[in-house]
Amino acid sequence: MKKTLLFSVLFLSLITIVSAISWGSFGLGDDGQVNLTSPTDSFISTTENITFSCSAEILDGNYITNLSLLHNQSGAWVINETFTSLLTGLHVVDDVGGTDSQPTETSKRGIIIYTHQRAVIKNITVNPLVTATRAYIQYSNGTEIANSTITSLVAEFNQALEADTSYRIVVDNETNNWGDDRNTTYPFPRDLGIINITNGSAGGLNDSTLFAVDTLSLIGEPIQASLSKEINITSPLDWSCLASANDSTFGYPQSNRTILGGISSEIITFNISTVESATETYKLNITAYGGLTIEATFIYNGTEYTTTKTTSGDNTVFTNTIDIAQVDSETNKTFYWAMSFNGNPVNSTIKNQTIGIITMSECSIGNSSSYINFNYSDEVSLTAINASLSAATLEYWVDSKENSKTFTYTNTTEVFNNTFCILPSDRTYNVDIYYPYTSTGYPQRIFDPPSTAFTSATTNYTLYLLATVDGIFVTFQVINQAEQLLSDVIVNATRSISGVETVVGSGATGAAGTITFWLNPDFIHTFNFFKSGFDLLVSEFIPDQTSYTITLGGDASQQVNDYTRGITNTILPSTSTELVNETTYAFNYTLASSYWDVDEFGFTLKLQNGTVLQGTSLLSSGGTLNLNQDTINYSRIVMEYYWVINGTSINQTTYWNVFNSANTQWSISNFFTDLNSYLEEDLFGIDDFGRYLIIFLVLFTSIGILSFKYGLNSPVAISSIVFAVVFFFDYATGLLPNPVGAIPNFPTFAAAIILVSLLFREVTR
Amino acid sequence: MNKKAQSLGLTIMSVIFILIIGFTALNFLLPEVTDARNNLNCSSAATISDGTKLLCLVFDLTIPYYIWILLGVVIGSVAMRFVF
Repeated sequence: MKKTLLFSVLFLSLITIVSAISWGSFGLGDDGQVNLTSPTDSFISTTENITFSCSAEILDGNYITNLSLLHNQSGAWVINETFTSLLTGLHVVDDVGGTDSQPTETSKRGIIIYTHQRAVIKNITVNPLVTATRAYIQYSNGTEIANSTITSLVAEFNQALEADTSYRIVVDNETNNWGDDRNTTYPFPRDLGIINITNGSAGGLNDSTLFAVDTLSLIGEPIQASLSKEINITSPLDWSCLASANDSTFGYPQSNRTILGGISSEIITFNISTVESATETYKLNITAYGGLTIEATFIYNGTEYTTTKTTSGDNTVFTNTIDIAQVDSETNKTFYWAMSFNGNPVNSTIKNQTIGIITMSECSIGNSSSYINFNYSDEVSLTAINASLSAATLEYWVDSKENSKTFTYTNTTEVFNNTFCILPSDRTYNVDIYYPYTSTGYPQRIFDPPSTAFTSATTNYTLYLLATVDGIFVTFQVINQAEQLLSDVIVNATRSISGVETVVGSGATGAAGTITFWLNPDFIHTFNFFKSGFDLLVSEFIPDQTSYTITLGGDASQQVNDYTRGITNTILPSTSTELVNETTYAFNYTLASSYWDVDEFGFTLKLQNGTVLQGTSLLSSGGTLNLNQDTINYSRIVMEYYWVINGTSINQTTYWNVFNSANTQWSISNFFTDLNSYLEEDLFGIDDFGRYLIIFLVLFTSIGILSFKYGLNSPVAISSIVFAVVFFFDYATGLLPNPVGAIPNFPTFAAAIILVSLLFREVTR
Repeated sequence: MNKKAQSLGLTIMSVIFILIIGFTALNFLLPEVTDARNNLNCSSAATISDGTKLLCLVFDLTIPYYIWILLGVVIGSVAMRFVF
């Protein structure tokens, strides 16, 4: 009975506690609650900071003393932020009783208050001059809400007030004579405005000079409170709010909420300004928590690009490289990453990048943006001369040639030099120059070097011209070893001028495989011929002929390394051997290299269907590898062997057929095997001589019969039969004893020699 | 279709029938030969008598002879129809 009673008490206590917790009550029997406003439960944050909001309310006459935010980001629950909620104020209008408001009046005086939030009036202190005996709280229409006797100038209330509502607080004698007619006193003559509440008390009304009628002291306490706090979150957490009341009760919501994950930092790295044809890199560095799966695509100027993702722990970096296209004028372009966190889409911060234009123009030397300067000189006299240009083209770009711009320049007026500027001048530009220049009395030359990078530190070129009387046109035709014309061969002709190797002709061969230079036939020139896939050909000679044929050797196809050169592979068992089932063989692979330095070699044993039996390899330039393998009942064993040279693997394959010896116990071979073994045991006393005799009889009889029957008299024919019979008894069946042990199958060899000799004699006769 | 052609077709069918029956019967003969060799202990050349050895050799040739005879009959039958 006692146990039952004790259990009942414990059970009821437990139920009570659980109820209190689950309903978030402010203590047992209190009427209040705490609500979590935002963020929602299981929240995934896409921003670095999260604003936590909650509110609390109490309606039992007590008031809220504080409201706290709690979370367990560091592992343990801590109070992160506490806000003490206070009543912000009451709007007070004095003198309900009209213009006669001397405090000596004993009755029918009061004030109007307007609540800006819910509150509780605990008591009212009246002016000592007031002789009224009772205080009343009414709605603005005169409906009474509560009243209380004034004792020692204090009327006790415990009345809750609604928010945003007007109330009249008046004093009177024992009978409340305030009726609806008091509404006629609106508007009241003295508007005190908002009276701030300090420590729950609204004072300052007691001013006998200004307010002769009634002086009241109000006490109001907060019954609602709210909290909003923005916090930088770096790990998943649970959070909640805890409210405390003045009677030492407290409350919390029915359940906690969770932050599953989010971004703790987002760093975007890029150049805020760039120029067309540049290659720009954009990086988004996201640090996230909660093990989020982050994916992103890069959106640049409305175009979507696949982004490169690099993850290291909680840090994910998305990188994109964009070639900046040409623009008509300076332009702002926006970009961002369209991300997803565990499938929840969110965009990164949108950024702007300014794209500037690049411009080349003809300018004067000394200009701060002059990149290239051309001077002209006579190749023989080395004196400076003037030159004109005919459709010179300078293709220029920063990083991306696909977005290059071209400056075409023609100047028929012969000038001392030509200088070219590029803006903006704080960048390095790649320029592909095609520069035809000439002068009166000088044939045109074309300066066509490979594209070169230039900085604003001016690069000076002295371009030489050769007078008509001093040079000849020399045409070079470039072919390969198959005598095929080679186009796009870069040809560079230089000669020493004043001790400096100077370019006097450059360019690339056309479709006909030719290029023509105007050269001085009195000097040795150095010619370089280069084409991708061919060895560089450098040749020095005096170009005194009008045409030369240049053969580039070793084209790409011929330069393929022969990685089988000098490689010797030895494989055992011999691949001509037929293996027998249910037998273990040692498979050997020996590699020797006399030319290449082999990095690795090895082999794998497989079945016909590709099933790998076993394999081995060795990081060595040579040696022997061995594997023992049982043939079991396989029909074929395949060996795939390989060797690696300079990272290139050379694979080869061989195989062995496996003879299945099943059912061979009934074969003719078995008969001869048994016969051999029995003869070894002196069957019927037959020794080697007996064997010779029997075989001789067989030989004699068969030859005699064949000769008698078919008239075989030819020595060649007879020796052929002898060879066949001897071969059968010696090699095929092993019945013929070998009198010369050093030479296997000697009888067969002897018969063969006799047969060949007779054949030779027959032929030569 | 003439008589010779009909006769050839019949011969081929007969030959196929003989082959099937012959090789089926071979499966009954194989274990008997094996049993005989095992019982004679033919694999122990040092312990059996010369007569037994000779008998073993005869058994060794039993199956080859059987197959030779079977193929001889079949090939001979077909060849005879083609030649004659």
